[in-house]
Parts: sequence; C-alpha cells; structure tokens
Amino acid sequence: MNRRLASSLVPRMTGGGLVVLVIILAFAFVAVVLIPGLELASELADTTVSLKFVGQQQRNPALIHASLDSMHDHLTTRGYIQESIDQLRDAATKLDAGLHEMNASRAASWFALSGDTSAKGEPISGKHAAALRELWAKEQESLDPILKFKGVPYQDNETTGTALNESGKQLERDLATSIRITKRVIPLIDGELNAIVTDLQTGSARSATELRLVMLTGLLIAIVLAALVSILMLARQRQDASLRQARQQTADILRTVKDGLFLLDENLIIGASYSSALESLFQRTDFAGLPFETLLKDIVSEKTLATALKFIGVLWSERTKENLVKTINPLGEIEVNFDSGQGKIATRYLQFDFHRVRVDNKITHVLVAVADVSARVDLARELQTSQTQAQAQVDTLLGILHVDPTQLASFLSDSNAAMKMINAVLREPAREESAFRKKLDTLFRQVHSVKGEAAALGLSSIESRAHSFEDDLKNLREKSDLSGNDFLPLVIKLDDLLTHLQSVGDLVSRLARLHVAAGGDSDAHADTAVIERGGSEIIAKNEGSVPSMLQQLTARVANENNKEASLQCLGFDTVPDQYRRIVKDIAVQAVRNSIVHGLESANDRLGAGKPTQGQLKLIFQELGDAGYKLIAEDDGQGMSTEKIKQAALRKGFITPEKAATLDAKQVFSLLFQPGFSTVENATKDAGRGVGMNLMAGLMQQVGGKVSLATVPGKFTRITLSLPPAKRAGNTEAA
Amino acid sequence: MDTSVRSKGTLKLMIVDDSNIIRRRIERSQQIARLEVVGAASNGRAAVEMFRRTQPDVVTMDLTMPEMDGIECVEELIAINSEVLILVVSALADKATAVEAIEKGANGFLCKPFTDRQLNDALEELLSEA
Repeated sequence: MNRRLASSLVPRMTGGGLVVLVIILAFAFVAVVLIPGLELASELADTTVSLKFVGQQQRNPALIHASLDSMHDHLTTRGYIQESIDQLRDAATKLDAGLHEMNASRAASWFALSGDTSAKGEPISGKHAAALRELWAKEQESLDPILKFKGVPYQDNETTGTALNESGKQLERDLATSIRITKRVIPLIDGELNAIVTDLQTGSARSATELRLVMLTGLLIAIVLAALVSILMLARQRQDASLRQARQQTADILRTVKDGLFLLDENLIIGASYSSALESLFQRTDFAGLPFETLLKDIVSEKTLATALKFIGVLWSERTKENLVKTINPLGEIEVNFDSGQGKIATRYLQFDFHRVRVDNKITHVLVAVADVSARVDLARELQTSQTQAQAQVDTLLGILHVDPTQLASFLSDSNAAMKMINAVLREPAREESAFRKKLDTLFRQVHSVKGEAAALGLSSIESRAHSFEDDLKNLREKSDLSGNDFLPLVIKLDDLLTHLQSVGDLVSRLARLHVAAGGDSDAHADTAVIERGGSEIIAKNEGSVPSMLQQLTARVANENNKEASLQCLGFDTVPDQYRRIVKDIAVQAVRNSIVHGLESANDRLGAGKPTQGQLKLIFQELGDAGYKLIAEDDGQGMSTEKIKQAALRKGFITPEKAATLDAKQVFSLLFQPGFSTVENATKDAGRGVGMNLMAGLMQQVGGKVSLATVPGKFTRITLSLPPAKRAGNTEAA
Repeated sequence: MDTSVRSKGTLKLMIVDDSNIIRRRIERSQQIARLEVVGAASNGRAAVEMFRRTQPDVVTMDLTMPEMDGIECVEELIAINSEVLILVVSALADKATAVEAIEKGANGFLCKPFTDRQLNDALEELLSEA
C-alpha cells in the first residue's frame, strides 16, 4: 500500500469510517467464508464416510452370489451345506442392515445452507433408495426359504448311495430359483450401489470446488482487510507524526517567544502549557494549575486585583465586545517590583493582554499575553523628561528676556561667586560634627541667597533648583550624626545648579550676540558687551536697578502669598560698592520676611482697620563716620514674644523652663538662630528659618549689628548698622 | 446571539449623557447609516423612562450622571430589554467603575475624549456579529 493511496483515501474516509469498514469486512469474513467453509468441510467428511460405508456394502451382493453357488455345488456333491447357509445368512444380514442404514435419512447439519442439494435429510442412497429397496426385497424373498432351511437335505440309500431327501429336493428347487433371481438381481443391486458411489463422488467433487471458491473469497476478503488495516495504521502513524511535529512546534514557540503566554480556564486557573518567558517575567515556575489571582496577589494592589478579576470575568460573557473593552483592561501597564537578588529591587512594567479563545464558537479559554514593556515606559518617561526640560529651557529663556540685562549679569556674577564658595566649603576637610554643622550653615546661606536673587529676578528654573538644594541641606541639618559621606549627594545637586547657571549664562551670551547682530543702541551695546565678557567678572554699576528688582520681588511674593503690598525704597543710590551685595541680599530677605510673616491678608488688615495694601519701607542711610544704616520696616502684624517662644519650644530650641526666664530681647534673638522659623512648612519664599540667620551672619561678616523693634498688630522694624566702608573687609563672597 | 436586533433594518439609538455638548457631539458625529437617534437623556432616570417609550436597540451611556448613575441605568435597561446593545462612553478616571458597567451587562467602552473616527468604529464594532 503506497503512501499516495493511503493519503488519497484518508482524507475521503475518516479514521472512524475506516474502522467501521474493517469491522463490516470482518463480519463478512465470518459469514461468507468461515461458516460455509465449515459446512462444506463437514459435508466432505460425511461423504468420505459414506463412500467408505457404501464400499463396504458393495462386497455383500457378491458374497450372496458366491454363497448360493457354493451351496449349489455342495448340494450337488452331497456335501456339507450348513457353512454356506451361515455364510449366506451373514452376508444377507449385513447387506440388509447396510441398505437399511443407507436408506435411513441422515441428521441435518447445524449450519446447513438452504439450496444445497446434498443437504438435510437426504439418505445416502438418495434417489436410488426405492430401486434398491425393491431389488433387495425381491432378492430377500428368493433367499428367504433357503435361509429358513433346517436339518439335513440328504438320505442314505444303499443302492443309490446318498440322495436328496424331500426337503433337500425342495431346497434344491428353492436354490435354483434363488440363483436364477440372484443372477438377475445382484448385478442390478451392484449397479445401483455403483451409481450411489458415483453420486457421492460427484457431490464430493462439487463440495471441494465450492470449498475452494469460499477459500478464494476468504483470501480476497483477508487481503482487503489486511490492506485496510495497513492503511489505518499508516494513517495513524502519519497522524501521530504530524501530532508530534505540531507538539514540537508548539513547544518551540512557547520556549522561544518573548511574551509570557498562558491560557486561563473559566475558573481563572492557569493551564499546563505556557511560554518559558513567563518564568523570567514572574520569577517563579509553578504556573500549571496556579490560580491567576495567586499570581497577581503579590504584585498588584488589592483594588487592581479585584478589578482585574472582574475584567477577565466579563470576557466570558457573550454580551461583552472584546475589542470594546481593551481600553479598560486594568492590567494594561502595571509596575512590578521583584527582588533581583542581593537585596536589590528591580522595577519592571508589565502589560497583560487578554484574548478570548473560541472552539466551535464557544469561549473555552482566555489567552493571556504578558509583555515586559519597561523599555517602552522608560522611553516614554525620557520623552516626558526631555519635554519638561525643553519646556524649562523655554521658560528660562522667557524669564531671561524679561530681566534687565544688567541685573542678570550681576546675578550671574554673584551666583558664580556663591557656587565657588559652596564648592570650596564642600572640599574643605572636616572631621568633627561641629565643623560639619558650620559647613552646613555656610552652604545654607549661600544657596539661600542665590535662591532669593533668582526669585527676585523671576528666574524660576534656578530658584526651584536652589530650593531643592536647600531641601537637601535642611534634611542634613535635621540629621543627628553627620559624616563626610552625607555631603556627597550635595555635589550632584551643586553640579545641577552650576550646569543650569552656566546654561543660563550661555543663553544670555547668545542673546547678547543676537542683540549685537541686530544692532541695538549704543547703551545696549555697551551693556551686552559687558555681559559677553562672561558675566562673572562684571559688577553691575547701575544700583538704581536694585529698587526695581525689589519692586518686582514685592509684587511677585505678595501675589504668590495672596497679599497686597507696596514697597518704598530710599537711599539705595548711596550704597557703597563694598556693601552692594550685602544690602541687596538683606533687602531681598527683608522683603520676603515682611510679606510672608509680617503682612496680614487683605481681609485681616481691613478687620484691623488698616488699608488692604501693606506698606514696606527699605531705607539706606549714610551716617558719615558712624557708617551706614539699613532700615527694613513693614506695617504688618508685628511679632509677639509669646508666638516666638511657642515656635522655639515646638522646634526644640529652648526648654519650657528656659522659656519662662527669657526676656524680650532674648526671645527676639532666637529669631536669628539657624533653622528657626515660626512657619510650619517651608515655601519658596519663607519658612526654612534661614533668612534672619542669614542677616545675622552677614552682619557678623562685616562687623555690623542687627536690632529689631516690633509692636504687635502695628509694625516690625529691623535696623542693620554697618561700619564705615573703609573699615569693612572684603565682603565679596569669593 | 440576539440576531433579532441585528437583523432589523434601522436601529434606534438613544444617547445618555449629562453633558449637552457630548449628547450633540454623538448625535452629529455618528455616521452609521442604520442608526437613527430616537432620543437623548441627561440622567439615568430620564433615560429609563425614555427607554420604555422609544424602545431603542442601541444606547450610548455616560457613567457619572445625576439622579441615577450609568451603572444603575445599565442594569435597569437590561432588565427591560436584555437584547439592548449598550456602549459606555465615559472618561477613564476609574477602570473599576468601567469594568463594573461591563459586568452589569454593557457591551463595550469608549473613552472620553474621543474622535469621530473612534466613535464610529466603536459603534460599528458594537453592531458587528462576532
């Protein structure tokens, strides 16, 4: 059976069809071959027995004939006849029994087939029975008197010797008659017996032919059966082979695919087949039979888990449109944290996709595809970051455009100086806790000053960076055991701030070139030329711009704090170069302190009978030999010693026992301690507790003094006394 | 499934949304030839009443509405006619709520804001056989 035949048959007939055919053929084999074969075989055996039997009977007629002749001879010679009579009787009895047997009908065989001529009930003698019976009756009749003879047929006579007596004579007559009849009848009987033998032989030959035919049919059926079985086996083999191949391919796919693939049944149990990627995605191997809920339990929140299980649940409903619920898949992008060994936690983003699996248009499973989309998410975040950065740059640019170039140059110069100082402080070796604390305080003042100026100029990108730097410094301040290592992260923050300041400087230079190229007026040209020299070496001469910067600061801080304020600046044109920076820093600090802490909200001011707009005053005075004075005043709520004490207690600056003993001056001096603030949460503008300390620090640097006057509900006035310029040291923080 | 709904020639559409802008937007933008807008409701209770009266085959359903929210409304509409096709059209603030609406028997979800194309694709998908 070649493959082509097998393959051409198999598609047309299913495996099941072939099996049915084989079974039918097997039954046909039993019905058409085995049963008739058995029947024919037993018939053949019967016929052989019959032939033997008839052959035996064929001897008897000749024996009868011979016995009669012998008897006749003995009778003629007056011999002894009893032996012949016995012989005759024996032969006649046997023949009679034999013929009787032959004429009796044979028992019908079990499996006899209808229409078979040699079949049931037929005597062996068949159609010859009647003739035989008649012939044998005639013969028996003639033999009868002879067989009945008893006694001796002779009588002795002296003259004639032995002669037949009366009964002898009768016997001789009967014998003669019998011989005559026998001579005629026995050949006839012989003939009939021969005919029977011939009939039997014919029947036997026919049976043999039929048997051969049946065997041939059997052989044919057997060949067909064998062929079919071969086809079946071949088909099975091919099926097995393709099944094995398919299984192998499935295994290959599941082993190679990067996604985690598995099936969920209606009870949300994971199937036995799943892709190998699943194991690395979830860092476990016990997936087969695992409930989906268990898989998710440790990696998503309880709420997400509940929603996810519901979501998969609705996929089994025919009402749900699979494509119309993809957007509400709660596992579309989930953050997963795994212990990646050595105590490290690896964060990955997984995306679960769910697809219905239908068999005969019935939903049988849900195929779950899990993909690691961390790269995509990271990319999206990077894009977001770079967008934010781009936006920040635009903001910076816009900010710069709004700032007076002279002020900007001054700011950049000051900031660079501050940065250098911060860097120097960070490099300075220190071992003791107190040294670290001192370092922190210095850093704080520098950063705070940069932040303040940036805020005043509206350079929010710089301001926010400085603010973040301040946050870190604040955390360090609150830390109990400081070590050199704690300062390391600050370097990164410093670098960030420095880089940003440089990029602002770059932008400024580029803008300046643009300005030059466009051909501005001579003044502008002079300004930009100065800026172009790098910004860091320049000291802006135009002090008239400090009040306008402070005005801007006032407007902005008031706006951000929902307050109304106006600022009056006096005498700033008389600030000597040496004090320029200090005065500016202190003025910035004073403005912010006044607005955030001093001024009340518009409503509160109305309630207190004041105009809604708070008044700030900054006055710089030259006092000749006595040096200079800077007065910062606001008409806000003033300060109560009680409030300051409470804040100091809250922050742990003083003990309750000590609080009771402090006089007003001592209470106010608390304000100038590092880290002190009455505000709970720091904002950009105030609350870190650095401002007053900064003032005090600056004053200390130049040998000045700070004094404070306040009336609760009325005003706060801070007066800073500066020594004459010639006595002052180098105040530039370089 | 319910081939009776789909074998109908023209299908009646009811729009449920508390925003007048969205209601008009859906009515104007939907371009499925077989759909004919038979009504618009601005809250769940009005929607149920209109549903009984106009017997629509298709409903677009907002989730957050006054009087009766979308989820409750979905339940009521399905109780009245189990063969109605419901497309939830809502902002995807809370996936759990959206999933709940599907669980109650809504057929699909369209996220606000949507484009005309997205709206029509979603309606087409809603009316498809498979």
